[in-house]
Amino acid sequence: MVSMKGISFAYGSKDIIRDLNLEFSPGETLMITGPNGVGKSTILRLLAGVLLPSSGSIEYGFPKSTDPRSRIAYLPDSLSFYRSMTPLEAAAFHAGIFGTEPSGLDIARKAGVDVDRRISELSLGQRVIVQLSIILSTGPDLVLIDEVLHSVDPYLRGLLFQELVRVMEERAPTMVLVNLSFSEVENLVDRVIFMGVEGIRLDESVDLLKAGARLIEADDFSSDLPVVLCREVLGRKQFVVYPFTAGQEGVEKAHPMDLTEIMTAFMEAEYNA
Amino acid sequence: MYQIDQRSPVPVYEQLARQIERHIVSGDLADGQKLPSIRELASALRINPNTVAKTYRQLENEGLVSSRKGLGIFVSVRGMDLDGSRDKLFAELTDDYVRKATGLGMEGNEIIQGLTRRLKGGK
Repeated sequence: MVSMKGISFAYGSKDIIRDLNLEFSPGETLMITGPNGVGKSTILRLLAGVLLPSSGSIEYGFPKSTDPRSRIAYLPDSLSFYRSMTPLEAAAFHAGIFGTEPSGLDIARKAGVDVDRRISELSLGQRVIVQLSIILSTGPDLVLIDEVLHSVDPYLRGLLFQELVRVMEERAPTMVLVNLSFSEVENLVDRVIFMGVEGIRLDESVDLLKAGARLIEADDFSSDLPVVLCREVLGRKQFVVYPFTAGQEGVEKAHPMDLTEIMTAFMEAEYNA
Repeated sequence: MYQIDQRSPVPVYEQLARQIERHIVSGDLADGQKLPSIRELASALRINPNTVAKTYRQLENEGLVSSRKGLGIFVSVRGMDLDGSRDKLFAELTDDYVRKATGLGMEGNEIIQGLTRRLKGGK
């Protein structure tokens, strides 16, 4: 169990995160989403230990004797690590720090990466693959992935998924994803946290979210249902409701929504607020 | 193959369980046949391995599959009421059809006539 307790963080005088409390279970894969600038990447950096909170604490629950960094695999949004090394050198360097076996770079080789070439000369997608195969080789208990997948072509993305699935099945780590496209990973994620300017707006399992979110098209709409968003599309009013309970009077057609649509509605509501 | 409906309010593990059940009932998956490993199915469908594990547990509780330690998951329908399952799935299909036809404004007689024409090969 990883827990963030009363975490605050500021860049200079600008508060980014205020009194954040979150708990992640082993084997859980979650997505942190929300508009730009609410501190999603900052949460990952704090979890990775790259940034230190100005107050509060993070407990990892790893075995006491281990270096917590060896249990964390962090793929940052800027792929700045090891640029001047070749993938082979980088794998050996990484393994040297943590005293583990170096990555065999299997998926990188499958992806056609020349493992003797400088990382800075590889394509962006290849760099993502190299970095991921290196950081996952330590057998992490906490995997943190920021952005990146959109720079990877569909074939390589397939290889990446295989690798993630392998790690998930072998070690059941906690996996935290930020800024990824929902349609890519919506069946990988089992919990979604939506961050607004005021902090956490929503923290829910994907199954409950999909079971409870509905789009209702109506000219007028009055009921006790909680409306997340009201908007007009092609001259018709749309109401996004969550959580929906069936059997409301005056609600004839309530359409289920996919995760992208649900999160877009929350996002729109946040911008309108 | 299996298809996940992203817009369905039915959880993915349940969608997958019902599709596998359909393959078993229709005979596409024969008694004793081995199902793909959790990792294979999760990679192919790009879904969480925990979800596949949940699907298999559910099917095992329903008595449609059995796991043999170290060997994998196998279809096992001995003593299963396959006709009952088929009736249940057919009823669901019919409900869905009737709902959609009614949504088009069709009435009972028209629906029956339309079906009869189709079954006779007409248009």
